[in-house]
Amino acid sequence: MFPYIIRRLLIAIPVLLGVTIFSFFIVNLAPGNPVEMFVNPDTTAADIELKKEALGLNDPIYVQYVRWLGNLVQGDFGYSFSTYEPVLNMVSSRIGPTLLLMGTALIAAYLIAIPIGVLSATKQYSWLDYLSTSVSFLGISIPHFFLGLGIIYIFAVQSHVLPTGGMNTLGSDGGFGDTFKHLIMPALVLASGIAGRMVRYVRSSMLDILGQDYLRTARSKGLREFFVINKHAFRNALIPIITVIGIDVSVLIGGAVVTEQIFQWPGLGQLTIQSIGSRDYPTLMAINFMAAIAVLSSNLLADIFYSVADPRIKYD
Amino acid sequence: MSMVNVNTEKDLSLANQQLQLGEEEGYLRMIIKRFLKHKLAVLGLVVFSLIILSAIFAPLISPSDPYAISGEFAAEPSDAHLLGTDQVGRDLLSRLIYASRVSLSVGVGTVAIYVVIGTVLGAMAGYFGKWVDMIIMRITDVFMSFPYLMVILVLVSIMGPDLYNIIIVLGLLGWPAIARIVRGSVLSIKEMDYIKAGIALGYSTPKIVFQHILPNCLAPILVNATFGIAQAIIMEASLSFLGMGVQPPTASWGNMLTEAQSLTVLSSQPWLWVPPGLMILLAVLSINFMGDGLRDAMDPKSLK
Repeated sequence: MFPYIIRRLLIAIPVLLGVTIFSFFIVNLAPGNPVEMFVNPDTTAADIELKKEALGLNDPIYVQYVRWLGNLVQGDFGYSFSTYEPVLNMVSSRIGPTLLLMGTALIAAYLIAIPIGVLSATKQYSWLDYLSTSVSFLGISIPHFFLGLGIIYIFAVQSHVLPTGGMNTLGSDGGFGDTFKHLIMPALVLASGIAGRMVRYVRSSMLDILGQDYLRTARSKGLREFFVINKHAFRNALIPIITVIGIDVSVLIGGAVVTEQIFQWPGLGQLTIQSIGSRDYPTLMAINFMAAIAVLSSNLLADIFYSVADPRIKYD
Repeated sequence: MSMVNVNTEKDLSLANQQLQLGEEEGYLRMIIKRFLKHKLAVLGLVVFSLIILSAIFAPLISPSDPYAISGEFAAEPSDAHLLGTDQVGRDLLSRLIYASRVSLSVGVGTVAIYVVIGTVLGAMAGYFGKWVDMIIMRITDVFMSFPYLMVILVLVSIMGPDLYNIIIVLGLLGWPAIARIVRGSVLSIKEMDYIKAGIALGYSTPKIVFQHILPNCLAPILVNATFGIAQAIIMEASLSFLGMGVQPPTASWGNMLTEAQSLTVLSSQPWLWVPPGLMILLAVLSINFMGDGLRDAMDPKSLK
């Protein structure tokens, strides 16, 4: 087990390097540069040159990359091109809100989806199964922004139950209740797709298990149906589902960009859109890098859980 | 004597061909039969076909020119404009119909590009193994570890947001899943006796890979591609919604929704944002149902 984790971590290093190389080059191939943002009628060509030199934009791209990577290893993500703040400060103030949003969405999605999936499988072809199948397909198919606008219309515009956006009411000190109210809609939107997919996975995984001999054995021993389903079948059905969590994290990261934009949620997704608008490369690179680490580590964690949950799986 | 031989050989090969054809037809017929049993999938097929038809015949069925200003600004639905007009006074129904062309070309274009890339890379990795496999699979890992939407946003903003760039970017980034599927199938098939026989007979590698191995991976590729079309349509709509996709005046379901971000449109002009949203939902839902039906129909586990 332990050597397996080490090996996976070692494999992750070149993959992560690949991600940084790829994203660094595409980001820097962009036409235009951040200096142009500050050009006004009084700036001379010499000023621009000076500024470019100061930001290191005149060096060959691989020199810029090595310099960026060297600083990164020392925990230095550089300075934002648009606010001149250290990127680390800008990004770290955004991590909290994004993690709060994603964590809530993920937990809510699983809490809703797993029982529904199990029920849907045990009552296959019942009206309940058809209903849950239809609703889960709806969840998978509805674009985040349409669902977001729809529930803003219902819960904020028509009935004023929930705030339209932001993380706290302006002027308030931002207590737990206030943040929670702001969290409900974006988390619901983000959870919709994940929950829909999860219902499908749980259902098909349970159906696979339900047909197996050891369940018939359990029943013939006189075990109550409740325990057959919830202890014997469910636990084993859960194993293949674990790998889905890794995929869900990358779905969450993408979904967060759109959802945070609609709900004005002050997280990394919103920062991404802002940074693209201002061609703020260092910030974009930092966000990309952190997102890649999140995806890689969640995949690794999923694989480790997988082997813990299923002792038949041997890694060597 | 030799003539007779040649003739029998011909007859034999003809008979063989017929046999094969018969078998393939049977397989195809069985899949169609199983697909038709999946009611939601059939419904999806019908709805999606209607969307395709309306995209093809857009000029014939739209009530007016989607770019012409033909009424008041943001007029409510009326007899003249069944779905009302947008904020510049263009007929909304016509724009809705023309926008289906954008969504469908992104869906089909994207998937066509990445199925080719994924199939070639996956087949190479699986067939050649060793270092070729290692390198291709590591590249696949890199592409799978990307925060997908973020990279797309950056790439599209660099290349310039328009329809063709979106198709290219989505196509260039979408292939890893296909590559993994194809690699897996190739790995399991290449050890089979009939492939070894092909190698022993001296068939060229491309012939073995494309004629003898790849046809066996067709089912999972087809299922993945179907879902891929739906994903690409959502992706284009999201990009256009964020202003990084298809640019006005060209209509896209996504950029038609962008206007709803203002509170006045959202609260008092629902005809501006509900129909395009519903169209995206309808298109994506119908494709996903079709994909589900295809997967069930082609699932070898439930084949008789």
